[in-house]
Amino acid sequence: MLVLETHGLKKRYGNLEAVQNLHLQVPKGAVYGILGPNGSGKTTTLGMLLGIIGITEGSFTWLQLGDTEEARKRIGAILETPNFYPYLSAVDNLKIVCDIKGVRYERIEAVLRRVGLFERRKDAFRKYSLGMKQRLAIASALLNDPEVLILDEPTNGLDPVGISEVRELILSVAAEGKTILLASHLLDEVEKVCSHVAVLRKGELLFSGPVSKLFSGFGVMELAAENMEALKHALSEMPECEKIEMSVKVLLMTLKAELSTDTLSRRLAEKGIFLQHLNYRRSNLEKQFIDLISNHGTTA
Amino acid sequence: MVRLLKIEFRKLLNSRAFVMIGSLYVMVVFLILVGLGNFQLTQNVNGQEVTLNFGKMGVYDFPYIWQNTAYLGGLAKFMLALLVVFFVCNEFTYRTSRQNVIDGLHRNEFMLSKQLGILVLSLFTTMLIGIATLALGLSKGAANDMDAIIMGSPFLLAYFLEVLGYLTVAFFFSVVFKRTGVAMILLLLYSVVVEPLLYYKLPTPIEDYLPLQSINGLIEFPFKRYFAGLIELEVQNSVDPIKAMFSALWTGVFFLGALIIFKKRDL
Repeated sequence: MLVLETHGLKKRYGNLEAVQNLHLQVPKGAVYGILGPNGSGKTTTLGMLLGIIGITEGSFTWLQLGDTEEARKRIGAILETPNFYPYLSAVDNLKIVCDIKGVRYERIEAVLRRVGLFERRKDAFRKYSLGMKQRLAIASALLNDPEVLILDEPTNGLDPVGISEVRELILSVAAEGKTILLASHLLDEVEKVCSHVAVLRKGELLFSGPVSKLFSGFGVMELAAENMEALKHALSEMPECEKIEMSVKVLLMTLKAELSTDTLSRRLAEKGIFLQHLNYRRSNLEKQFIDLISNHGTTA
Repeated sequence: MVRLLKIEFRKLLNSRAFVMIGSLYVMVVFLILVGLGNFQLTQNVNGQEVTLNFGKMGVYDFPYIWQNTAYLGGLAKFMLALLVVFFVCNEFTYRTSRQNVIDGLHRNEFMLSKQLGILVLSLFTTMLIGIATLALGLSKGAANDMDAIIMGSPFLLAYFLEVLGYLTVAFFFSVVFKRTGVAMILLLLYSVVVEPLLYYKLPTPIEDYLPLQSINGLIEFPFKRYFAGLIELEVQNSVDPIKAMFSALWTGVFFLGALIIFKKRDL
């Protein structure tokens, strides 16, 4: 079953196409990442899906209910910064959300305990730290026990402890079988928590599908030796080599066939090249993400 | 509708600013109304010094007291407008309007909850003015017969229409300009510059039906009555139903205008 389906979604601001002809299909139970650099149209897309940004063209449907507030009541969403009434306490802020969504106030205690804010429930929102604000936003999104949870850059601006807390929270919600839509510019984040991913660049969809499909190929070797020229020459003669790139202090060899590190180092030793650095990266999402973006950049 | 009021009044009643400015309005109006009886005015009429004592001249007498209290209560309505501007603009500043919609509030419902808040606020102050008028009129006024009490009471309705109308105009300015300071200054500018200019430019029957002209013109300055014996003056004795109709009409127009703008806008 599909939780979300978009048909040729488009947003134009004057001459700028912020989102172009977007077709997405989010299956139930997926942790779906929307990945892209800043300004790639992630928030605009979510804004359209949540009824706060007008659609130029196209349509979408949530939970087979279409584009309605009835659907939004069954979704939990935070977009960019947490937005609450600063002078109201956490409890009063959440009561407003309960009244909007038609949820009983009893849920408030449960969600506040879950994000660890129950002790501070009577404090005004403005007294909260950024991390606490972000957690309150997640609590608010969980109030209606949503079928879909939408998070936009949920770890933005948090310290490392805050980041790991939020990620654990996301994973624990995902473990309950809920569908999560997560927008992020951090590849690492998407790689760690997502099952599916859509990659956006300048409003254009470059890839969508299971994260595993993004790991095509045979990985990348990261190498360094005293004589880099000789190393580069030796590597280029190997049948498994697809291409070699120079990184800051290492060579990156993309493989087109299986090649183990011991075979590689033995072959190089036979040629009198001894490695100072060798690292094999199987899941090179970062590299592929950058490839994906830069390839389209040059062909466009 | 109860749900929308519940949402709106949770936002309002838990705010110190709302409670403070709201009580200030009530206090100021009460002080003015109670102090009115002690008010004295010395005027030079035809070379003679005449001292007018408002209390002795019967400002608290029915039916005229209705017009006096309604007029004075209406004068201080800018304080209530300040509240409306502040709370509506806050929704944009803190982006809570956006979150309300994300959470599942329809845009119509958001606007309706605000307008309902304004309606309840207007009803509440109308009730207070009504109670104060009855209390002052019955205790300090000369005429206590039922006919006199009922005769002046349409002015209370006029007060309600005036406050409701003016607050709706303030609501419109808040939705359009989104920032408290900007909305407040432009509302003021419209009230004291733009509309008065239009008033002088437009021909006679039309000028009276400009938005704030009809809203503010519902209750004219009532104290001319007490000079009426001394100088020739035309005194308003009843609420003009046409003006009342136009006030209500403008209220509707400003609400619909705000609604249309809010619905089209990216939040």
